[in-house]
Amino acid sequence: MNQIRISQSVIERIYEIPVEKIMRTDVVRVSPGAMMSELKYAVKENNYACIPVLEGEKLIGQISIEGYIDWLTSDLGDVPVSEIMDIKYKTLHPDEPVITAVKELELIGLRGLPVVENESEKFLGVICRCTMMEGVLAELDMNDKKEEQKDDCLFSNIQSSSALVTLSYIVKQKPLEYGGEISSSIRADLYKLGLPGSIVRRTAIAAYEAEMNLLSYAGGGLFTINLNEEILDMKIEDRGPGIPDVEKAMEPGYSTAPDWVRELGFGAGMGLQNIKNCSDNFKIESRIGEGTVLQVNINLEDK
Amino acid sequence: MNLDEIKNKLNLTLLTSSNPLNSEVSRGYVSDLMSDVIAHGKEGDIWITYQTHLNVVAIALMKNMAGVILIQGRELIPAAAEKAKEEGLPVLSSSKSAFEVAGELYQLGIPG
Amino acid sequence: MNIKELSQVLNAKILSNGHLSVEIKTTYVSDLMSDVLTFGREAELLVTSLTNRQTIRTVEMVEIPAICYTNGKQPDEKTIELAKSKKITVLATEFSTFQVTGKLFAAGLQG
Repeated sequence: MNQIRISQSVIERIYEIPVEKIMRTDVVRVSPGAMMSELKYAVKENNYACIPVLEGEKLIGQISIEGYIDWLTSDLGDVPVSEIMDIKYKTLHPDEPVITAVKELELIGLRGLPVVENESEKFLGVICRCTMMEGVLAELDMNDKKEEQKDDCLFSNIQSSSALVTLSYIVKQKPLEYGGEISSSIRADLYKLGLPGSIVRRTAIAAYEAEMNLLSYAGGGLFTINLNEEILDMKIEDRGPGIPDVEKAMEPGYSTAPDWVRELGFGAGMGLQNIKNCSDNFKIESRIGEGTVLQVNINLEDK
Repeated sequence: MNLDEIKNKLNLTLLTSSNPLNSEVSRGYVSDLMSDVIAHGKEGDIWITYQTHLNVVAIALMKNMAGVILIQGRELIPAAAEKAKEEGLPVLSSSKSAFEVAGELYQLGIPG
Repeated sequence: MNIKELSQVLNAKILSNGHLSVEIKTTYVSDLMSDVLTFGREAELLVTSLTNRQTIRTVEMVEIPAICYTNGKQPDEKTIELAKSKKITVLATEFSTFQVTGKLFAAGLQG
């Protein structure tokens, strides 16, 4: 592996860059009395990092994206921000080196950290994983080399967080009649995250067909949805028996479905094709005895 | 009304039989569920369906139906087409949806 | 055509009240949920003789606001509950799929 292609002097410089040089200051802030339902815009605007909660200029709490998703998927309903916000969290100071921020983000596994003034706790900005890279590169004047850096280990953690939101869902084996519960949650969650109807519909249809497949053939499985600003990437994995002939399975009308699946209105050999038709990019990999992985990519920007 | 008139009025494509299409159509039936058709299909029915597999032909023959209309430009899978030809079952196809095909038949006075 | 008119034309019982203000213009007829699930399907009513929970899930995913069960078939309580929770209008009629389609076609709905 290309361990480190970046020269030693560059690394030293990364150590030296203070947080304040690369923090985002234009993030959306909210007051403790704001309602959770009003945060949709803020979540996106803040690059899915964290939303600072301010009283005056003072930081009194934060809503992390993880906290926001927990709320979305909970039954709490619409409540004030103050009831959901974290009050114990790590903050950064403006003069700390960037490398501290990297360590903290990795350590806690969060997408962003607020930056406050040393004594007064006055809110200054946010360091988030996704803009940190840009900030560092701009600072090092390395923007033109950005592409090359992708393989470098030092940055691999940061780069891999180009997925801004990750949702995962487990499909447990259940009678087929319950199929659709997970797709229904996916659909609701995507709407709550503010995605447009056409995108949500395509995702929901693909998810539902896949969920029915998981229950019909694979004994359950796992959905992982990674969302960034450009692409919705949905991965559906199972440890089922695998598909002997993937090409054949993709043919419209080809089906190995038993009659009881057909009588539920499925198994007409259209499922995989349907999933593909909903995708801008579709991949399927299957190994006998190991399982099947479907990957559905949907572009978020209309072309 | 016989099948030939229906074929002409609905602008259907004949997929299988070259027999004269003079069988009388007594009723229209729409279903994609085999169990349903086994239970409720009748002699003389014209059966409108999206399904294209071998069971469609088998059930239509079993029930002595007048014919089958496939919708949305669907075609029988080869084994089913073979069987339909062998047994002389008329299978027709329309580019229209089940709603339109059934609607037009109903307008022609075919009972349901 | 609104839901009330629809239930009159089809002599149908309303088993779940979804959004009553829905205006039915386009109908899709199918018992195959994978067929209904085709992306780009735009309709306000699904006519089907299949009455399981999957029918409700399917119209939920493709955002068809109303469903009409034919052939005198009744969905079970759980299916009706699911429809209510998803605000999907459910009707049930004694008429066959063919008859329902014919009546709606004659009433000027599109397919």
